Amino acid sequence: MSGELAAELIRDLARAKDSLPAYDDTSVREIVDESIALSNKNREDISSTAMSQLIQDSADLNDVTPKERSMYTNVCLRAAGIERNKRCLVAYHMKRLEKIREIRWQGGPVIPDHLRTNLSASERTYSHKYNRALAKLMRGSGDLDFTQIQTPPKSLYVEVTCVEDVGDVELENGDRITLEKNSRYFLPRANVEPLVRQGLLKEIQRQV
Amino acid sequence: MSDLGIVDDQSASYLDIDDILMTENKISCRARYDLVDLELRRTAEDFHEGKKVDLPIWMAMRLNEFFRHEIPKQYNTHFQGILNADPEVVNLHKEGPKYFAMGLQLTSENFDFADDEDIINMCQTLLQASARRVSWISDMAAADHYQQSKVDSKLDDMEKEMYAKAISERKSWEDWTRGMSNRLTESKFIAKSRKRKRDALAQKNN
Repeated sequence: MSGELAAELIRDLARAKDSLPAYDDTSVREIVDESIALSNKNREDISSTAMSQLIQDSADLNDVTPKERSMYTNVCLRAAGIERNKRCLVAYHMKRLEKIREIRWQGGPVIPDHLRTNLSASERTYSHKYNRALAKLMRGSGDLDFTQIQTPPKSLYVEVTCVEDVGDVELENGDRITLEKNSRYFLPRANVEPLVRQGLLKEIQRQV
Repeated sequence: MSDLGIVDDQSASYLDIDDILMTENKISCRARYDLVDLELRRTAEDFHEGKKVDLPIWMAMRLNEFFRHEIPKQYNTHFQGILNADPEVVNLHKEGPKYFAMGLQLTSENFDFADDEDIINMCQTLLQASARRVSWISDMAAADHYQQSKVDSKLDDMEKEMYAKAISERKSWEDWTRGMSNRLTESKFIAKSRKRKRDALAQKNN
């Protein structure tokens, strides 16, 4: 049945809720090929004499032979399949772009390697261009980093432990410190926030 | 389907993944005419008038000229009676899992299995059932601190989202009362891929 491949593509994407699965190049190409084949068949049928006769007379479906009627049905069937494939493909790509934008806002301008391999070439270009547009916007508003402090902060400093070796980090006042695994630090929130979101640091939960 | 308001509007839900999956559900159809060599499946088939075939909703909607539709049994009057009597005990996940969204879709003018009065009755049933279930869900979410009841498995997809939201809101309220709100958290995207990376590393070391 036409549209089966497209449904499978969407199902795979829906299953991967909070992650970005690898771009399914083969399926996308197969769906496009299927649509092209359907549309070619349709063109063939529509230009046939039997069909043009049917359209010209605008005959009632009860009055024509089953063969002609079926030809008309098949054309509608294929048209529905093409539309369905198109809808699935557009939705698939839009959803992925949405996820790429979310990764940018949560993880900073550099996409982690293991996620980057899941992007297609054009998606990488998109991510690159999106980064540039965002950077331009932030420069225009006085170098504010919009992705930081997404909830209003209660204090300017936070206490964190280091989950993995981070290395050198430059603080807002220009000092450099080296963050080492399993050590505790008391640092400005603005510096720490992106690192926490990337999972390198962890805020220490203090019970009140 | 998080927002039922967009169901009416075909173009608004065009990109909605849930809507696409919902219209993949099948309903039974009967051929209106004798048809030959129909390319419904991989091999062409012949249909005589009245032959039954299961088609996905998106296809059935487009082919209503050639096929008569039959109301799925989880929406017929008998089931509506059950739903009216005791909406809380029905397992809508089993019947759905996108029960309400599909029900609304069936009321579209592209389907012809019922006259207007029946459709209105069905909408009323769905509305009442969902209203009663929503208050039941919010009670459950407020009472069930350890999520031990298996209520989740009985909910349709929209209700599941609602339940998860209620649980997470209650948790954030509790955190706030203990002065633990406003924590920095790791991004869910990165957390997930990171875990995978760590698993891969562990496997390599083994």
